[in-house]
Amino acid sequence: MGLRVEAWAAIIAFITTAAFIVWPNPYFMALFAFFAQPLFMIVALLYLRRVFRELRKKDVL
Amino acid sequence: MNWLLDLPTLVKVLGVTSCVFGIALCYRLIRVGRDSLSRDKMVNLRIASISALTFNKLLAFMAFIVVAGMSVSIANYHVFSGVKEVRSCNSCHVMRPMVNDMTDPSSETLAARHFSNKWISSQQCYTCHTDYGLAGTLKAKMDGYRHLARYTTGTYTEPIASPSVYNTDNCMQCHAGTRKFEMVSSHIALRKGLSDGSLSCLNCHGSAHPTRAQRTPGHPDYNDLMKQGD
Amino acid sequence: MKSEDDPRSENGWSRREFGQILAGLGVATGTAFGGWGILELVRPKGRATSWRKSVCRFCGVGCGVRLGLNNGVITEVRGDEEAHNKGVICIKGAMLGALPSLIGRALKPKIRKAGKLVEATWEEAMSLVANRFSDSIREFGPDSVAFYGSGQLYSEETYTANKLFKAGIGTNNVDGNPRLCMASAAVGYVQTFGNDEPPGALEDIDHAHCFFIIGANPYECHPSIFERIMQRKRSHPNTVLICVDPRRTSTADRCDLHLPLKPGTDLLLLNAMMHVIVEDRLYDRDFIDEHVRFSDGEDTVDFQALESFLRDYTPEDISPRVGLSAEIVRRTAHLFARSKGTVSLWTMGINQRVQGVHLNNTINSLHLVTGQICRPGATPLSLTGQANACGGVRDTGGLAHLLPAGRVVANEKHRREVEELWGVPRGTISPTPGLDAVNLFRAMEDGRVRATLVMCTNPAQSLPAAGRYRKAMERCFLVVAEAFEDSETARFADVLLPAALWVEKEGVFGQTDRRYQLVEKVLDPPGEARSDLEILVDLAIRLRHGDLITARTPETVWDEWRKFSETSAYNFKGITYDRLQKNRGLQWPCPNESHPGTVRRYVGGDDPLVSSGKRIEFYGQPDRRAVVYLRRYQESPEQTDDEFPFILTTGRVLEQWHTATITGRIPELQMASGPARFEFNDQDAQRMDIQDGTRLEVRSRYGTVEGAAVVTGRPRKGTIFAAFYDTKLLLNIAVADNYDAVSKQPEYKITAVSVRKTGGQ
Repeated sequence: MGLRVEAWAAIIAFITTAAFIVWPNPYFMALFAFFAQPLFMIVALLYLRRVFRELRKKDVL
Repeated sequence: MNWLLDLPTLVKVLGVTSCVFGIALCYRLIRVGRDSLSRDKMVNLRIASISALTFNKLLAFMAFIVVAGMSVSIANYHVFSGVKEVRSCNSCHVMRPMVNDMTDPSSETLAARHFSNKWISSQQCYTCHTDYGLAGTLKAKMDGYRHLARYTTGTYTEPIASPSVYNTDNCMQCHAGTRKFEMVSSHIALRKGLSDGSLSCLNCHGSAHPTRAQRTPGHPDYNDLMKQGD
Repeated sequence: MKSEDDPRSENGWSRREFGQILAGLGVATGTAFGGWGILELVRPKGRATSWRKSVCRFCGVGCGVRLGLNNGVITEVRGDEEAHNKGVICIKGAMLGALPSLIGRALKPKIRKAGKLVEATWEEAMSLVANRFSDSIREFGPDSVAFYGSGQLYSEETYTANKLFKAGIGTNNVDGNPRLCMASAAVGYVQTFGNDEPPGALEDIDHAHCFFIIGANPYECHPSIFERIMQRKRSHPNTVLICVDPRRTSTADRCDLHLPLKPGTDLLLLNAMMHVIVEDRLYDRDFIDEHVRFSDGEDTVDFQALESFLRDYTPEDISPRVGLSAEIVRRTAHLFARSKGTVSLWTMGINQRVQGVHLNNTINSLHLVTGQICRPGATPLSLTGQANACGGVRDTGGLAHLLPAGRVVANEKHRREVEELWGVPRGTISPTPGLDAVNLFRAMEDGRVRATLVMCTNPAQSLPAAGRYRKAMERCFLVVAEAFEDSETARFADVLLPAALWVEKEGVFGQTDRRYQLVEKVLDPPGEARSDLEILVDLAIRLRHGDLITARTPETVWDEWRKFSETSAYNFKGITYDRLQKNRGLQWPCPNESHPGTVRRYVGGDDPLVSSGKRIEFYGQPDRRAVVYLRRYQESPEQTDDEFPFILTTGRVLEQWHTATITGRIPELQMASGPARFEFNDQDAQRMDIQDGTRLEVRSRYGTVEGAAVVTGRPRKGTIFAAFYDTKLLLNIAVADNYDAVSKQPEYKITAVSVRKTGGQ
């Protein structure tokens, strides 16, 4: 399956997000808004691309 | 029971839990070796047995879509509800003069008058600085993000100054139509200018905040205005 | 190298994976910066592409404004937070942006031919003006010509006109609108302190505990000052506001105490307050001993003389004549004297009176006797009507009896000094004071004055007994330099010269508290309009005084004037154009370029002219003591009788300025003010069956005007109020032209009139 890249990226994003939630200062807010959020988005896109490919391979799509 | 009703705390706890859960899921996904992903290895979930592969696929879906989405949503709720609070604006030091002045009972700026007379009882910054309607909210968010980027990257100079002009509509939302406002013939005569923004309410009613000069480092008032509030 | 399908060790990392993670982080960061970039691009912007600082050109407060410009058009006007007015302006100032595009601008010179003004070239117009002035001077002497200026001209312009007429042409016939507005205040300060211009500053408002507002309506006439007073009151609710006015003005509405006295009896009230202060020992003995001298107007007298003088002014005695209870007079005196700081503010209700100078003296005296002066929040501070009456006319000596920087025509030593400074032969300046405003127009009437240059003012509407002087103007060769071709005065012009307005030219305004501010040029004048300075320089050259008027640009004139001031107590040598461009105004005395300016005059450590070691020094007087005058009350010559049972008093409204030549063209202001009307007390109105809109004929010994009534209940019973801005109600036609014997300022505020209903509604 090999989702290690996505998983690591997501961990970084989760940590940033948690930090912001615990310490809502401008710097963490900026990190969350400008970095963690896009990172979550990228992870989700990569994951969905993989799902899409697998489904294509199995002729589901 | 009280702590349960405290929404910000609840959100905080939920958000952190969600993030920790997300991290755990991701960690598990990393730890999973290729071998354990065979179709033959079964995972028993009490109510049903599924293959390890399918189980991990489910975990991935949870981590990357469900929990991630939840964390982002909670954090954003935290952003959007938090930033309405004066405390949140005050967390950038350049905004401190505005807040310190506003909460100073002897100050005569427009903001201080609205504050000390409780004309606006909470979320004072947000109430005056967010245009009405959905577009206004969107604009406020965009401005907010821009300010955040500028502030955290240090790409600003003190004293800060708005590149735009204040939207007088925000004043009018409360004042227009009141007897005190309509009684003044000048207001009626200036209606056009006030509604298209070419005229400013501040012209006659005074500065809203400390002046740029006062907010410039080195000014006699600067240190007082910059003092850390609670 | 591991290929994509290469199995990896449990914890091993492929380069590819590292790359992917880094790429992901990179994309995330890129998205962040990209998003920010987009936000910066779409950030909201105002209409203005650039902002310039400027100064409002209406009243004497001199509010700083910021002008937003886009493509040579003023798109926005904002109060300047950095200026002394702290960002507060009024509705008139907010509409400044409309000025450059107002209709009716004079664009080309015009010459009267066969009774009609027809367009001409500048050459034709100016050579005609020069010829007529030369002819008149040759045939009838220099005193047959005159200059009638304004507190709306820049200092450089009045300075140049004054020099041209007094040292070039050789006549002291240089007067102007400030005679109608500030002369009594100026003379009052000179008599009391030895120097003109207030000792205190607007900043004192921020420290005062009691405001004594007499004969002024700052809510309408000086709105940014009133806002400042109210801000003081809101932040220090124990601050007391006292308003003395026969009419319940908008200012009185907001005051703690309103004393609606009978028009013209202020000196009784002030003397009675002094009586209470002396009787109840509310005076400051130490201050008096150290800094005050008493005078009965001729000789120095002692404190006992003051006590005996005041015996005629007990509150109980004056009560029926003033129309106020003795109790309120006593209370006012106590509030005035016992507050931690009292600021008195006054304007035309005090200045435009036959006893204007004496009233000014006595207000100053109240402050001196109680020691309410020369410390923050305690000062007498006269408010001014025009944007540059203080700096431009009083300081430059642009009045018939004055020479620049506090010198007077009648003093030979002063004449010699000025002749030397201007580099003209001894004896050039005529020893005879020129004609003051009212007498100047009377001289036009009987042919003594044959040619007059009127600049930037509208005497046909602003003079008292205007009907008489409008006729006089017809008899004189009248050159009118004016921005609008249809002002009341332009109708009487033989030559109309189109003048640049406000930011279409450059110059210095000097306002209320010795504050000089530069109005920089922002726009080009429309059509062929020229600045008044250009017109004066052109006239000087044509009259062969080009070698006298060598400074020909605003800055060179300013530099000449600034260096001139060094020889006087008006020293502002340190206020250069360069500093004025960088600063929002500076207050003189300011003797050198590193001096920050003087907020409080006569105060050691603040005023550089005070001898070192002195805490307070009234250096304008030979004995360094300010003078408290014992001034007897005299009745106004205008008294009601059976024929004229009402007293007419005049004033301004918030939205219009002066004769409304400018503000009357701005639709918003016109709509807000509406037409001028006669305000009636409700009891008078009921007795005479007058309602809102009733058409009236108001007749005085001087003239008759017609207009509509409005019943507001604001004026005191027996008093009618009307504003003088409206050309459809030329109120000043009916107003008396009695004037103060010393200041020659007319008494606009008191005219006995009769009222007749004309039937219409």
